[in-house]
Amino acid sequence: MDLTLDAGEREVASAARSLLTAVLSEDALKCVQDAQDPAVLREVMLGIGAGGWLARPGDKQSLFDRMPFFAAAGAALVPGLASTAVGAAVLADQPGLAEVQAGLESGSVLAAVVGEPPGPAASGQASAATAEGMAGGDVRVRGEFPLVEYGAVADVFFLVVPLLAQDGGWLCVLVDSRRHPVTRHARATFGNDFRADLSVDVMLSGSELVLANDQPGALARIRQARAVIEAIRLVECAGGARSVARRTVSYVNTRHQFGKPLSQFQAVKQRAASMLILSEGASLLANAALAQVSAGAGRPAELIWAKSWVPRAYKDVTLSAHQLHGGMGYARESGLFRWSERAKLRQLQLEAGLVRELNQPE
Amino acid sequence: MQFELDERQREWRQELDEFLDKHVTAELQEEIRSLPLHHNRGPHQDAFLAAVVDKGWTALTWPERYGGLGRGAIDLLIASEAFGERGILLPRQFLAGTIIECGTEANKAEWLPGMRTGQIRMVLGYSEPDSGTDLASLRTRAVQDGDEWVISGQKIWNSGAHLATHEWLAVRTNPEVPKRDGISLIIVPIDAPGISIQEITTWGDYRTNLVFFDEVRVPYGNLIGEVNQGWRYITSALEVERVSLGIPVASKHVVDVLSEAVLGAGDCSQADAETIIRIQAEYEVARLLAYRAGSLVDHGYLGSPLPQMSKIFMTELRARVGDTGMDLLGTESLPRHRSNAELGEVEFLYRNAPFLLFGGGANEVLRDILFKLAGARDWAEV
Repeated sequence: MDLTLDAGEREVASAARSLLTAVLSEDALKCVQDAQDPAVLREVMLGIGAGGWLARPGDKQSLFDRMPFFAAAGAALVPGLASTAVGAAVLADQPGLAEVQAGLESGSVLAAVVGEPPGPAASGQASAATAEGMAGGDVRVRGEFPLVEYGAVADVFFLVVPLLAQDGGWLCVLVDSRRHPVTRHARATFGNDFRADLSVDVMLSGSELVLANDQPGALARIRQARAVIEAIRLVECAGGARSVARRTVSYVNTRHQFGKPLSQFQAVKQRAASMLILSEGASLLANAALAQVSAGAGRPAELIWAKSWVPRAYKDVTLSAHQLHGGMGYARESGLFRWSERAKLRQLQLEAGLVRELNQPE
Repeated sequence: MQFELDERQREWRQELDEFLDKHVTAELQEEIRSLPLHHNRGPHQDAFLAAVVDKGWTALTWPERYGGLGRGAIDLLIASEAFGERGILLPRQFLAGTIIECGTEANKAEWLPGMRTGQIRMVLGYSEPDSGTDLASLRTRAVQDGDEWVISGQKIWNSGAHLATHEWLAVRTNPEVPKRDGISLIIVPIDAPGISIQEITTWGDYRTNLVFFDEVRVPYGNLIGEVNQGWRYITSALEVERVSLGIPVASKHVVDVLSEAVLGAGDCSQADAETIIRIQAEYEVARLLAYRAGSLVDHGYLGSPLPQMSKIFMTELRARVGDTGMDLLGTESLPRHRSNAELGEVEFLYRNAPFLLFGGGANEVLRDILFKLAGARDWAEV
């Protein structure tokens, strides 16, 4: 047990900050975080991919080795596409999907992962879609997928859909929008993450069937991919919380009212101290979850605890930041709202299905 | 960053477990359960303490040259958890840290051996009826008279004074200088003529005391360190001793009891289950904050805000667990502690938790200190 950063981790943190500063210019930040320009989003993803940060876990470095990058990414509000790419690379790690996997790792292919296997842990997402086995081994997948994260820009969709003819059966399929028609209706949403309602009616061949419920280890693989995405996002949340807390401390130390810095008012100082406690705790719990997932645990207690607590702590930090920044933080120009929306969005996403997960057998 | 115990730490934990499995007997646990809080130890507790002293664990973090084992903060936390999981506090005298850090060699020779064996039991005498959080305004006076100090005044919230052998007293030795510059620390035998102790009972069931000093005479050599340096000593106690204050061992059992009672019930609602998951998560956060504080100390990063964060989070968590626990259990939580098997711990925690929110450094004051320390460097980078 040693909860300090070692020299290697400090090097990763430094490299991460350098790369993110280069990739996410102020203009790029605005475009990406306000869902304005998909072309800029692609450039950002290519920049991150070129740094090696999107590689599937365990290939060159473990997931936990990249922890400082994920924290810095959260502070910089890197698009959720990055965490999805790492998790999707776990799903694409099989013969026949080499091109997609290479694209995910380089940042040239943007992915969305939609739906969950049916069962006690499922949140009910994507239940309006079905898969149907056809003659010759093909599968027809059709259905509506509402409010898919990055659905307006993703190139490939990993869809987990129930099998029509088999009670409890499911498939994970790859729908590549460069080969199959996918109807998208872009939506402006809280969080600005390029959401869209999707409509799919496609005939897929064998190479596009990623996993099936009757394959050994299929459920564990889906869970591992999902755990990877969630654990990365938790560390990003903690990085975001730390960034917002630090920014707020700086603000209250420099902003003068009544002839002295705001931080000399005890109520201000104490609220800022509470933000620091929450962000420190969030960082530790998120890192603990990432360490477990990195070691191969599919659904460790630390992950469930972190999902229940870290995004809420992040959200509370952002709301305190708004209070302590006053009007200066409420103006869009300050950009603080972007962290605030990301925090609330992650809370809603990561808390979904928490109790069902707790009760689900391993 | 490493979240698992390494090989050496696992061996340490194993040594602790083997010892505790042997010495924490059913008779000891029954004795602890049956005696009132803050009562003299019974025979089983005496035997247990003697075994702990034999292992040298009462001086776990003291330097070896003073009879300690020279262990670090993480080892102290591991030991605190191992003891705490069995419902027993690791017997320690954290004031020894101040003697080691600030005392003269004569102080160390006189007091440390007895503190190590448990023969000397100190009680903290800081607060006064008019000097609580504003400790530096204390008025109990010590005047030098030849080779003695003559002490007059009163101290409050002296928990354990009726069981202690000595008072660890903060006194004013120079009223002419700014208030923080005129304070000294003096050790006073509790049986010295002129001392009287008045019981104060608390909502949390335990006894604390008001202690009066009426021209009490003690040898000049009972002064700790140098005269008028007391404020510096009070605020510079060994950081390694401070970190274990945040380990939430005492509330872990309550969290387990609550989890079993709520999640184990067939009709547990989703909202209640989510509440329990968050309490479990917060317990883990409290634990990690303590270990982060200890890790920083062991690596020589002193002056971080982590000990304050840890103490604040742990004590506020205890209060939340008591409050939320009673909400979840409803009227099942009403029967008093010890008359309600394990569920009684919840109402006890509700009553007991407020004490640590203002005791041991009021959380509001600690937040002020934390804010200042946090600005000294970017602690996220270490």
